[in-house]
Amino acid sequence: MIIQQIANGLMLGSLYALIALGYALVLGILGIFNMAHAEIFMSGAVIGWLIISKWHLSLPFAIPIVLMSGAALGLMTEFFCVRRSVRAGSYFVPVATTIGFGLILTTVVANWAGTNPLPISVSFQYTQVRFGDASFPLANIIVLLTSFIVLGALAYYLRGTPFGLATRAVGENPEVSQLLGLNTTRIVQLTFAISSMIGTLSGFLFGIMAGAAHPYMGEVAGLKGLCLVVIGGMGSMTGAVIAAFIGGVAEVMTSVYWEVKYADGVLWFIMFLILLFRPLGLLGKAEELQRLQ
Amino acid sequence: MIDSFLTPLFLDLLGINILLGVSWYIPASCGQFSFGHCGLIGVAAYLSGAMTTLLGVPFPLAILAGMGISSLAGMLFSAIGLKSKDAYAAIMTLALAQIAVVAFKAIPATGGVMGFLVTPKVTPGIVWAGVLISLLFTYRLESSRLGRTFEAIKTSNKVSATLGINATYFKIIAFGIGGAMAGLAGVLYAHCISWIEPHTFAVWLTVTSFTFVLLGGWETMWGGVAGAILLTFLLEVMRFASAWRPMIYGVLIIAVLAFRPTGLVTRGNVRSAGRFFSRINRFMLRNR
Repeated sequence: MIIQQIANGLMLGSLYALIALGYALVLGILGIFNMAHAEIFMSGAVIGWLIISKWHLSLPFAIPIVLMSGAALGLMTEFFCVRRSVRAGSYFVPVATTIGFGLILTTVVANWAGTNPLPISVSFQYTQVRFGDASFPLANIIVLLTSFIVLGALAYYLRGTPFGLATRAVGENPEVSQLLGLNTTRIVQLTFAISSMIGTLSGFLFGIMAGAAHPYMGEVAGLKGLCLVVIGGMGSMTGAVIAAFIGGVAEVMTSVYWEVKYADGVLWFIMFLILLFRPLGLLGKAEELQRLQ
Repeated sequence: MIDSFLTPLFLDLLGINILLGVSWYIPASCGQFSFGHCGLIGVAAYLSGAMTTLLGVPFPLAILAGMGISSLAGMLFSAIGLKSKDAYAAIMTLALAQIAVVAFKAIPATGGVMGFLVTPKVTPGIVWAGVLISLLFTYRLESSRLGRTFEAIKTSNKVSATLGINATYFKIIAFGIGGAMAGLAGVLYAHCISWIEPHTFAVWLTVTSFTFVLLGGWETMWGGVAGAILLTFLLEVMRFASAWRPMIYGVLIIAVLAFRPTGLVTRGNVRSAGRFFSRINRFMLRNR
């Protein structure tokens, strides 16, 4: 029983890790909070509903469309909300503009698709996989595997490709990388596109796992990524992933052994405790915190 | 047309919106922003609603309790966030808001998700008395030593640190004052609407309060007041488009920050308005 709950928690945690990485990427490169990420997450689930339940296309078609729309949303966020406002020099200005962009996304979706839950049904919705005496929904296992693939690909991208090197250089020092001939605007665009692709993909996976999308799901589920980045330590992607797994297990444990209604507050309470005793987060470094605008 | 604006409910909401704008402005005047204003408002609204309705405490006492709890919550959460960085204080207040909404949903005495009926109804007189006292307080605060310290911290963290100003201490004080004012707004809101539910205090409420300040201008307190009045009237006129209200806010935020980052009312505007009034005053005195 408890093994099964821990495994469920890890599956939820792998999804949270994806959401948190979307925040962490932009935070690591630009030092700003992309608050529209919660709504980009929501858009991923709604686009999944559109493709699967409305257009009746199969999963292999859905994934590229979800990823492409994520890239488009990321480029729009960068163009409308970040490019001008990042020069203002205050962490608040990009936060406000991205919140504004998120409001626009939510309103458009809520007015167009309605505020009722939008069902996403896939063929393996009720398939259970048995391991010994524990059984898991196949959807959750697919989510877990996809998350690990994305985490691996992201690690390879950042550590093993020239683009990743350029991205890390811009994150370290934008002025010097511009002097060395890097096109920082392109790098920022690329980062936003990748972060939002991860965002929509995580929303889509969440939609498959929960079986439904909702225009207001971003505010509760999407904002948890922000909380996990803070728990993990600013600028540390490893920290964000570890925090996501801890958070997923904590949330499942709360809803099983205590009350389901407290589950949404657990992550924020953990953040409260972590910042109380370890102001830098689990793996945060003081110099990373200084770069935060 | 004008009749629909002068209903007591509209006047109450106008006053409460002005309070929201000013209460968000006070931490902002010290360079510190609050994402979780909705939590501060909600805690006060629930506490005072529960005190008057369930326990039968007199209303003035409930106002004080609501202001006190919001002020304390604001100071506690911002103090923990400020141990690391000022942006963290803003996120900590968001944590307060999220935990508060979960708690409101879980408490059975206040109706859980459904919400509950708050009994003594406020009159516009009480609301506007609260608004005017808060405005007077903020006006005096801006020209006081404390207000000037806030201004110094907002202008430059580093320079104010070399002058021996402990930014963390003053930011916590700013959250205390802003929290008390947000608490007042929350108490008045609960007793004006008469029905409060957890959903009312979602992040949307924070967005409304900072849109007032961003639109109106964040250099002086009059920006928040002007933004609140302007947006309240605008949304009342555009009532037919109420489903698109969040989008109007989003477009306004992006457009204002892109084209007029200071907001509509700048410090220069306030100064020239002051000069204008003093000229009228002098003219009147001369021709007496």
